[in-house]
Amino acid sequence: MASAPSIPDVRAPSTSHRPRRPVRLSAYQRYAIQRVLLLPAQILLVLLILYLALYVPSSVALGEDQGLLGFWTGFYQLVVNDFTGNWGISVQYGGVTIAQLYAWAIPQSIELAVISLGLAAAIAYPVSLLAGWGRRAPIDATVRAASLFGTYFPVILVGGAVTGALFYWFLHTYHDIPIGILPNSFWWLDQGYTLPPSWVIFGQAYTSPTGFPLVDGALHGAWSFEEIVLIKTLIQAGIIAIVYVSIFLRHSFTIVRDARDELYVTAARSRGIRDRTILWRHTARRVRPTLLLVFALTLPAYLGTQFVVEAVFQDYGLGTLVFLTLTGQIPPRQTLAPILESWQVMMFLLALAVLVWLLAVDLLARRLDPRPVSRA
Amino acid sequence: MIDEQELPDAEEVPDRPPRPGLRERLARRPLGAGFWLGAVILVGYFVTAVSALVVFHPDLEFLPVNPAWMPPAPFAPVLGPSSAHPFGVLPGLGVDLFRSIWQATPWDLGIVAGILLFDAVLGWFLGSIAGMNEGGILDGLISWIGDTLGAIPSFFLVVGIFAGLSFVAPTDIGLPLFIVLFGAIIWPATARVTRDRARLVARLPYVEATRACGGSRRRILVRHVLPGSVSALLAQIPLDVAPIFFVLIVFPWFWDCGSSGAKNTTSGAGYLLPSLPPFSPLPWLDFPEWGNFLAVGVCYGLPISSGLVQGTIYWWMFLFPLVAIMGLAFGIALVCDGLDRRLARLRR
Repeated sequence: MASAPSIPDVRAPSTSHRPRRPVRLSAYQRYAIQRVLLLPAQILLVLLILYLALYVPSSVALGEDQGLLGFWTGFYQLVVNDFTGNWGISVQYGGVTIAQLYAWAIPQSIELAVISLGLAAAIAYPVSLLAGWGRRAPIDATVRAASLFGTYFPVILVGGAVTGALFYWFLHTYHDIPIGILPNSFWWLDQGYTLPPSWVIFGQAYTSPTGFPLVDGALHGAWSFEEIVLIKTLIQAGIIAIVYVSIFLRHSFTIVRDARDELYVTAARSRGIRDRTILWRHTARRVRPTLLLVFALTLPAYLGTQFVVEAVFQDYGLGTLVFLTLTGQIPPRQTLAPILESWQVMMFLLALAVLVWLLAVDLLARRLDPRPVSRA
Repeated sequence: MIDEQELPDAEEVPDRPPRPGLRERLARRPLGAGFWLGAVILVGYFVTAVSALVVFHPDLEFLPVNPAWMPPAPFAPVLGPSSAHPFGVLPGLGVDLFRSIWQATPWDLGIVAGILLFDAVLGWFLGSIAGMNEGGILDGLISWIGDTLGAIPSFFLVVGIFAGLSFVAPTDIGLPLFIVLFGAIIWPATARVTRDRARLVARLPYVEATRACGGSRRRILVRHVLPGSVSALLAQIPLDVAPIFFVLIVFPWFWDCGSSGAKNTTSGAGYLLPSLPPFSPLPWLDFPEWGNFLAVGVCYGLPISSGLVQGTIYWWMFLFPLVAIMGLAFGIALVCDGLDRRLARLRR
C-alpha cells in the first residue's frame, strides 16, 4: 500500500516572515511598570537625604574634608552597608548584631500590626460609610469631634490609662501583668517552669523558630501561652485601632460625603433604588480604592501610633527598638557619631517599608477602581 | 420723550447697592458657632502669651525651680491644686504648674505658628504649582520629592536631621532651627492635598477662559489656583499640629521613663530625675514648654506608664499640660474647619 502523501502541518510555524504583533500593554500594566521603576529612584533619594543629613554635617564638624571623591565613596559605602545588612553591632545588647535585633523584633511587630489593622479595618470601613452617608448634623459633629480627639490625644496617656485600668483584673485572671507581649517570668513559674522553655529566647523577649509569638506557641502546642499572648496582643491592637481609626476617619469621612453627591447616586435614587443598596453595593465599591490610598497616606501616622503603644507596653518589638535607637541607647559601635549610624539604618528600613507598602497599595487601588481608565 | 425734570440728580444715584451692615453680612454668610468658639480660644491663647511676655520679661526662658519640690512622694510632700498653686506642683522639674504653663504659652504658640507657617507656605505653593502643571516635569519632580520625603515618618526624620545639623549649627539656634526644619519636612502632606485641589481648579472654565485670553501662568497661579486651593490647605493644617506635639511629648517621655529609658535617669536617691534626650530642640531642662511638662507629668502622675506597677495617680500633673495642648489644637482645628465651610458655601 502506497503511503499517502504527507500533508503539511498548518500549525507548524511558517518559515516565511510574518509581521510581529506589537506587544500592547494594558493601561494598568503600563502604570504598574512606571510605578515599579520609580521605587529604586525613591530609595536612592531617601539614602541621599539620610547621608546628607546625618553623615556630612558630622564629618564637616570633625574636619574630615574628603572632597567630592570622598563624598561619593562614602555614599557608595552607605548604600552597600544598608543593602548587605552590615549595620553594626550593639554594644549595649552584648555584641548582638543590629541586623539580628531587627530580625527578632520585626515579626512581633508584624503580628501586632496584622491584628490591629484587621480590627481598624473592621471598624473604620462601615463607620466611614455610615458617617459620610448620613446627612444629619449630629452625626457630622460627632465624627468630626471624635476624629479631632483621636488625632490630638496623646497615645501614651491612652496606653497608660488602659494598662492601669486592666492591671489588677489581668493579674488576678491570668497571674501575669499586661506589660509586654510575651508572659513574664513569674507566669512561667506559676505554670511550673523553673526556666521558660528553650524556644523562648533572648531573656524571654522573643520566640523561635519563626519569631511570631502566636505561630511559635501553636507550633509547640503551648495553648495557655497562646491564650495569654492573644489577650495581650488584642489589648494593644484595640488601643492602636481606636486611635488610628479616628485619624483615618478625618479623611475617609469627606471622601464618602463627596461620593454621596455624585450623579450616579442621584440617578439611582430617581430609579427608586433604596439608599442602603446604593451605599453598600455601589458607593462602597466606588470609595474602596480611595480609602486604600488614604490608608497609604496615613501609614506614617499608623506606624507612630503602633510604636508608641509598643513602647508604653514595653514590648520588645520594633517600636521600642526605634525609640531606643533614637534616644541613643543601642549604639552600634564605639565611633565618634554612633547614634547617627543606627538612626540611619532605622530610618532607611522604615522608609523602605513605607515605600514598598505605598507601591503595593497604589497597584491594588488601581486594580480595584471600578471606574473606566482613560487610555489617553 | 423723557422729561429731564423727572430724572434724579446724578449725585443721588448710587454706584452700587448700599453695603449691608456687619450683622446682616454675618447672617448671610454665617461662619458657624465652631469658628467663633475656635477664634475665642485662639484669642485667649494670644492674650495669655502677650501677658506672659510682659509679666515674665526678662526671664521668660527660665523656669523658677524650687529644689524642695523636686523629689516625688514619699521623699517630699506632693502639692496638689490649691489657692497657692492653682494647677498644683510638678515634681521632677520642681515648678508650679500654673505659672509654668502660663510662661510657656508664648514659646509653644511660637513653635506651632512657625512650623505651620513654613509648612503652609511650602506645601500650598509647591502643591499648587504641581497641580497646575499636572503631568509636567515640575509636577513629577515635586511629587517625587514629596512622596519620598513623606515615606519616612516626619517625627523621626525631623529628629534625625536635627541631630545631624546640630553638629554644625551653633548651639543657641537649636529651637529656630528645629522650627524651620520641621516646617520643611512636613510640607509633602500639605502639598499632596493641595495638588489634588489645584488640579481641579486649573481645569475650571473660568481659568481656561483666562488662559485663552492670554493670562500669564504667574497670573493664573496667583489669582486663581492659589486662592482656589486654599480649602485643601485649611483641611490639612489641623492635622499637622499632631506630629509637632508628638515629637515634643514622646521623646522626652521615652527618655525619662518610657521602657528601659528609666534606667538611664534613675538617680542614686531612688527616684527618677528627668533630663533632656540627646539632640533635644529645647536648650535646657527648665525651659518652659508644654510637651516637656506633659512628658514629665505622665512619668510622675501616671506611674503605670513608666512600668511601675504600684503608685498613686496624680491627675493634675498631666491634666493641665494636656488641656493646654489640646485646647490650642482644637482652636486651630475649629477655626480652619469654619473657614473651610465658609469657603465651600461661597463656592456653591
